[in-house]
Formats: sequence, C-alpha cells, structure tokens
Amino acid sequence: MYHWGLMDGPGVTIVDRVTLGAGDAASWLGRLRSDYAPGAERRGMQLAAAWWSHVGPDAVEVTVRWDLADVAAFWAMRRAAGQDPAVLEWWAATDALAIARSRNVCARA
Amino acid sequence: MTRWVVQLRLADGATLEGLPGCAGCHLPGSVGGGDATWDVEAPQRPEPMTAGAQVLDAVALAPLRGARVAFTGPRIKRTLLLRVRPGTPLATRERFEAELAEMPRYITAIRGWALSRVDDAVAPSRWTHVWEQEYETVDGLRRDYMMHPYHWAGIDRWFDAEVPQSIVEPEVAHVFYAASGPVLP
Repeated sequence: MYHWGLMDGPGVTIVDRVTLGAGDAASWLGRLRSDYAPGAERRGMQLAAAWWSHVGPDAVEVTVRWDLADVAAFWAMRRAAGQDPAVLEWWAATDALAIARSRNVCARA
Repeated sequence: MTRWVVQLRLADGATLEGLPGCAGCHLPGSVGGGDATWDVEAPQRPEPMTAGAQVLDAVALAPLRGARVAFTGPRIKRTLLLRVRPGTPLATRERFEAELAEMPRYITAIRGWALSRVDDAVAPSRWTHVWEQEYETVDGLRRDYMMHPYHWAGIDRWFDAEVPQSIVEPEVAHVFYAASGPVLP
C-alpha cells in the first residue's frame, strides 16, 4: 500500500530520462527548454530540474524532473497533451535522435 | 452464448426499459461512446427492440479474468473500450493484461470486474479489449479509481502516448451508468 504525507497531498513528479549521443545532449536540452517546456507548463508541468550524466564515452543521459500540483493536475495534463499534436511530434523527433528513453510517473513517498 | 457491450444512440424520448440484460444512459464524464451502454448476453449481434435506440457499436467479449464482491442494490457500471496498437508483441500485451487485472487488488472500491479481449471472430471491432468494473457509488470510480497511484503512476504508462512503452491507442471509450443491480456475471 502507498503512504504519503497528509500535509503535502500525494503530489506528482514525472521523470524523463533520455540517452543521447554526447554531441546531441546540449542542443536537445536547449530545445526541450525552448520548444517543449512552455507547452508542458501550460499543461501544468513545472520544469523542476535537469541533469546530465556521461553514461559512456559517447553517450549522455539527460534526466528531467517535472512537478505537478496533484493527481487532478496530472489527469488534466494528460487530457491536454492528448489534444496537442505538437507533443507527439516532439517525442517523435526526440526518439529519432535518442539512444534510449523512459518516462516514470512518481507519487511522493 | 456471447456477452456483449453495446453502445447505443438514443433519440429524444427513447426508453431503455424492457431491454434484456442491463442498460443505462451514460453519466456526465463519459467520453468516446454513445448515449447509453447495453450489457447483454445473446447468441448473435443484439438489436434493441425499442423505439429510438440505434446500435452504434456492438462488441463481443472473450473473457480473460474477472471477479466480484457480492453486494446488493444499485451500482455504477463502468466500461473502458480500448485498442492495443497493432504489432504489439503478445508477451507485452499479456503483461499489460496481467497488470490491468491487478487493479482490483489495489483499488478495493472495484466491487466487480471483468477483463476481456474482443472476440473478433464473432463481431469484428475497432477495439481489442474491454475493461469493466462495478462500484457502489460514482465516487468509487471518480475518486478511488482515478486517484490511486497504481492507476496514474503505474497502469497509465500503458496508455500515455508520451511514455515510449505505451501500447494503447489514444482514442478510448470511457462510459459509465447507474444500474439497479448486478451487471457483470
């Protein structure tokens, strides 16, 4: 069973991990901030932090954390994302470049 | 005998009374279906013999798993019609089905449930799966089901097109109605 702080509510965090060629990571992160993040914020996702890590001689894993206010905000985001073709276009362009990618949706522990 | 989930379009003044099985007009929040759902067992594609009711979609079920906690009285019957993307490997589809069927273990507001594949041999359909539940009240669906992290932080990854491992097409039918008694077998 899940437990969370009653004072905080459940809260929602989304973690994207994208592994890219070392030469692609900085430019992809720049496009994430300029192209994807504004729409994501309109959908209720706040860009909380981004990190990168060399995971091989030629590969960098970028980790991006998004925060949402609560579960209702999560479902509202899902509905809004489903109605915006730019969202899937963004990920299709990313997947064309990425070595690996994952998204985890997390409840506050 | 096949169990069917039928989506109906209702003309003004149409009544669902007298239909065999169970039927009900969709409650607010339903999306992607018709005006009403008709749950019925029939040897072949059912037709409502009632004025003003037109079949939009009749889905024949091939049951996979299900269970129910016995209780009497009114309830909410919810149906999710979904389509797994063509080309999804069988092992992936079976893992999705297994995880979906575990939802009642986490979400105890689900009092009865059935997970079925669509029986295309009986009636070709655009859907591949039917996920049905019964709740004592609509809060069971709107609060317990929608707000549980096993759902939104777990199961939803199969549905969310932003998740690379998702396998369910974005277009679904999520419909629910008030029933006076048991609907699921």
